[in-house]
Amino acid sequence: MNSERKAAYALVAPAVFIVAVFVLSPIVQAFINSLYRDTPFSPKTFIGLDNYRTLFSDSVATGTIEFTLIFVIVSTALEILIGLGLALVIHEHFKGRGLVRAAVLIPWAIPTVVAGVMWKYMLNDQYGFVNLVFYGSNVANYVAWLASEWSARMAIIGADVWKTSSFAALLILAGLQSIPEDLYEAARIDGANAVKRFFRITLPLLKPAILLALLFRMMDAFRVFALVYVMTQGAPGGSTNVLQYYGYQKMFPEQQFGYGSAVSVLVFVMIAIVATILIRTVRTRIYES
Amino acid sequence: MRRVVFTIVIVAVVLFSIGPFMWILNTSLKSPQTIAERPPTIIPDLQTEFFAAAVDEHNFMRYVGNSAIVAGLTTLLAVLVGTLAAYPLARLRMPWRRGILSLVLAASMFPQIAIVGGVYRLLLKLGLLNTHPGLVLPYTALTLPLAIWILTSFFKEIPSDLEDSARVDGCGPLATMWRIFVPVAAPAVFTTAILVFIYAWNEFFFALLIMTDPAVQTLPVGIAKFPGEYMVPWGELAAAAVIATIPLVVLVLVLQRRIISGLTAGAVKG
Amino acid sequence: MSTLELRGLTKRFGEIEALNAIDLTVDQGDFCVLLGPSGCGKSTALRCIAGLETITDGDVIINGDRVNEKTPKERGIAMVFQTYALYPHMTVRENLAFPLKMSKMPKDEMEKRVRDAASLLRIEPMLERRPRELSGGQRQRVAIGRAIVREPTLFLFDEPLSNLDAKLRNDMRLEIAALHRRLEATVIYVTHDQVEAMTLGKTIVVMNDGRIEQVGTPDEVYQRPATPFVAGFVGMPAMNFITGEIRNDAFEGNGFEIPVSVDHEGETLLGVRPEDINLGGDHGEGEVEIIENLGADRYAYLKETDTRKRWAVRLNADESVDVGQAVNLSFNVERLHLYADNRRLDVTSSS
Ligand SMILES: Nc1ncnc2c1ncn2[C@@H]1O[C@H](COP(=O)(O)OP(=O)(O)OP(=O)(O)O)[C@@H](O)[C@H]1O
Ligand SMILES: [Mg+2]
Repeated sequence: MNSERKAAYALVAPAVFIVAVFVLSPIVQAFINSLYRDTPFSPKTFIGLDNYRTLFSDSVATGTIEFTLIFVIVSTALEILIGLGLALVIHEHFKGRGLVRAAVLIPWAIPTVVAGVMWKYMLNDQYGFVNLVFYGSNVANYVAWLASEWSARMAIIGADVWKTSSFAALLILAGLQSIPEDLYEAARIDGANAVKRFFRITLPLLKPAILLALLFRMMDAFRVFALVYVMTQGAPGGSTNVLQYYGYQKMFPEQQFGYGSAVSVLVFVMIAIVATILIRTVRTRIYES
Repeated sequence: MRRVVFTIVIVAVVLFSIGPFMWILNTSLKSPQTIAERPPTIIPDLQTEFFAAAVDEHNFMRYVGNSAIVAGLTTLLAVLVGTLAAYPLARLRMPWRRGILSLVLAASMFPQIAIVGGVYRLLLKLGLLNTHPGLVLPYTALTLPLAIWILTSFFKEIPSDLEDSARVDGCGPLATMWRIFVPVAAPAVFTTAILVFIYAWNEFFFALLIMTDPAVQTLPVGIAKFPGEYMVPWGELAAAAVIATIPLVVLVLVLQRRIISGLTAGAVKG
Repeated sequence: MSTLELRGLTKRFGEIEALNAIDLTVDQGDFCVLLGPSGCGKSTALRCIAGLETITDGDVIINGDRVNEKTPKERGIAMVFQTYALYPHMTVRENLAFPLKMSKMPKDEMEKRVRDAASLLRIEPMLERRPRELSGGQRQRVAIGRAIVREPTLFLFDEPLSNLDAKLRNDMRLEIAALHRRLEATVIYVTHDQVEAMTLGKTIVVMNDGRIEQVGTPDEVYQRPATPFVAGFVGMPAMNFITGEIRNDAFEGNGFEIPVSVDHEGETLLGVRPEDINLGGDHGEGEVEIIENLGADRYAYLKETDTRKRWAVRLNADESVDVGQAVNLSFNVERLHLYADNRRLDVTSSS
């Protein structure tokens, strides 16, 4: 028994060590550093919550927070909707379903950087496929989608939705597969049509899976970085800047380590809040059923 | 009628999913003349000039090599360490079991930006910036939660009689893990390996900050920093993107089932 | 010489006391069946003997050695599990060889043992198959084979037949009995099936609630159950019970008296088996509710009209009753079981 416990700790130790050194300790450092002014140009000084005051008063920072929130809300909402649609399709039985499932997985598997490059090119003002679709050979009308505020924002959101809806679809598919077939049989015998069956059976029973997808997607949306880096670098005029990109700019190119840490703590706290709320909801949902 | 609608829906789903990739593939197969045409032509002239340029002029295979090394080592390390940890977490009686599992899961939710500062300074101190281990170690830390969750959930499903039987037959905890659990859960181990590999192959944020020397950079960084500040060399870039993506497309086509089961197991059990 | 001895074996899972000071001695060559209802601690006892559970208190002694701290492997035992626990990634041959491989046995000796076990159990044609390609009975044989190859001091079986269908279970039961005779092995066999216990066991250990109620031969356990629990648990349909009092050398029941000579006065429990009840007489009465025809035997289930007490009665070949019929009952007074304070009263019933 004692030896079993010793073996257990010995086996878990490497994993805990690696996670502690490369994840947990850096987080703690970020919290501490966020209380300092830490740049190469002046000595490291303790400034309390000053970094956070700047973060909430500086207009670039607040603009970044605003777009991050818009991005998180809009993209997750769309991802869940599209993911639900995709899941319903790939749940059906049909010939070649394996291939369709593989196709749906491809956006998930593609490196985010590549996805960003793809969409940047799709939206290109001279050779872009999107312009070809909208304006055909009328080359003079071609639009530089990434150059104006709202279309650039929509582009970033669209690229993220394209890239990650399939992950939401997979989680929802797992939920669909766990609904027993005889429930539908019973409903059919009771005379419920397809629409009724969807709203009375499928959707309620999918709630846990949808909440789970929401949890994973939301937490991930707060961490958006590569798409912004590749597609817009925050332009035009900082309108597509997101917190993780903003923090990166401060911490690395601008070397404001303390302030950058404060930004990262803010991202951390936002994710923690969302995660806590959603995990609570998921838990109670699961206990209810 | 129903069938026609459904077929249209499926075609739409497939186009939505692979359309953008097809466009970039299309672009990569054009010649420098056709790529500059406006409006863009739909049919490529099936030239490989851009691939040749990406490989020769931009030395792109070096990035492929770096990615293969980093992703390969990360996969080995994460699966090994993850298996070691998952077995006791799933099967052995130990206090703090739930606590460790929750902490590990929580670690997977942390934003990279909150971690990267500390990791950067640590690697600087260790002299590991711009080295393969410098990327493999944080990647392992970041993929361990996924590995541990998938493996734990699969190990939990192995009947306890099997474990008892192994003990009666003379296996200690290590032998039980190695000779019984790992082979029985081989599909799960394999699935974990694929997911970790894809993560490490695709990761950008840490790669960007830790690998500043082009000699050690991985594919995503190579693509994101593709030379040409003002005139983007779209053809070469498209070819590079295709090169970076092809291994993943193959993985997905061949292993679609396993990937789906792995992703959902990792998530649902969480 | 005793192969296994348990001294005050106690096992607690937190608050739950699964085994409460078990004392037991099993002789070389015995076939000892642990019998009891679900949750009484049979498997726990077996697992403590095997070394799969650490024991809370007491000693496990195998061949004279105290093995409390020893690993399962060092105890020289082999175990057959309810779910067979065959390794799914190994062939039958590899399954059989696995325990030998773990003890680093030379290769030719290993192969010989695997061959012998396979031929003994008639599984030679299946040696290259994997467990999932075998039927339930074949898997069972492989599981037993894996125990045999080690030539253990002690075989432990935990409900090995409960996953088989009725017919196969009968066949395997006979095979296990034959195997035991051939190997002259010592066996501890857990079951909650009394037919298995009665047919296989040389010794039956009846357990209840973490305690041993009785140790005895099948006959002793059936004919002279030591406690009301054993009396009620062994036998199908179960024994009938009547509470009453013993006064002046007579058991006073509900409206009848039976003379008994025991060293006891006061509250007493009287038990009588269905086959020891005859129709007619004044020891009880009731209305026939159900008649069960098992082919060889017929049983009538009665309900007393006022007390709602139920009776199970075996009908003799010449007796016939109808559902709804009111009948009177009498006991075979030579074969009564009397209990007081959870103890059997030694009775020489006088007429
Ligand atoms: N690992 C454990 N943790 C907590 N309690 C346990 C554990 N194993 C067994 N118990 C408890 O110990 C008691 C005895 O269990 P055991 O498995 O020995 O019963 P059993 O006689 O084998 O029953 P069955 O015929 O159902 O197999 C039960 O109350 C059970 O709930
Ligand atoms: Mg049991």
